[in-house]
Amino acid sequence: MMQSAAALKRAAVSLSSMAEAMGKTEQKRSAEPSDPLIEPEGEGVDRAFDLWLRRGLHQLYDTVAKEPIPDALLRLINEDRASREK
Amino acid sequence: MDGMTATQAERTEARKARSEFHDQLVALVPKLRVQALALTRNRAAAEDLVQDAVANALAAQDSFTPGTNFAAWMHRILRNRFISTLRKQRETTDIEDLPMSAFAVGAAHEDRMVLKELGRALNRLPSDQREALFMVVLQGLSYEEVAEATGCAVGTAKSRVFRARRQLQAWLIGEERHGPQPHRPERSGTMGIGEAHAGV
Repeated sequence: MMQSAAALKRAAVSLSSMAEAMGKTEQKRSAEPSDPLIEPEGEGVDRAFDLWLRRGLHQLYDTVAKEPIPDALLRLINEDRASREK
Repeated sequence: MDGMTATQAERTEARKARSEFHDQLVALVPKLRVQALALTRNRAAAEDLVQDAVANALAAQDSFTPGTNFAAWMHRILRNRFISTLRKQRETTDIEDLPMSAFAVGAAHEDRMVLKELGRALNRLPSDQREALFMVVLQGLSYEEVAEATGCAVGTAKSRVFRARRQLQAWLIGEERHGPQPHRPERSGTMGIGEAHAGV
């Protein structure tokens, strides 16, 4: 538990740094450099976490989506299709 | 003669629509299985739920209007079926029932631990938030489609997804900001930059 919490922190910190760096780059491109409020630190952290969350969700659940459809379910659908095509 | 031709054309069109219905259903089943897992948090219950929802959809297929949003229609059926099943039986969920195949190969030990933590945190979310988050992130539905499928306002759908993200963030990395957040939908009803698109 402690180990995984530490791992989460490390993942978040590295993503946060990346997102903040990206945010600062975008800021340079699109905003007045003198406006420090355009990219609040928290926004970058939120974006980094959202990115990490998206990846984590896909890692967790894409395997479920890729499992073969049960035969019984396919049969149910195909039998209905055949009966309606008659 | 023209009348017969028109009838034949109508029959062909109806047959085509029916065939498309079944094709769409088969294509959507993988996503329905993930969504069912979001609702039930239990693999066996999720499989049963999808089977029941597909049977309901086949029985009700004449009520589907071709050309309208099939995914939203089907998710609504899945959800209604889940709710009616809940009414019949006490909730028997297994919060440890994570998709273990995700941890089997490929990931480093540390990554597996992190994924397990994420899985547990997801299961702790309020069901309406988990459902909306899965629809947006994993199913790729828009907030409008989530609202249609779950029978809530678009703003509510946005708010549920937003709150799910921030709650997970608070649980997993202890990031919880309490300062004013004028761009956030739950406060202002408008979307921040990061929320403008349905994807995370």
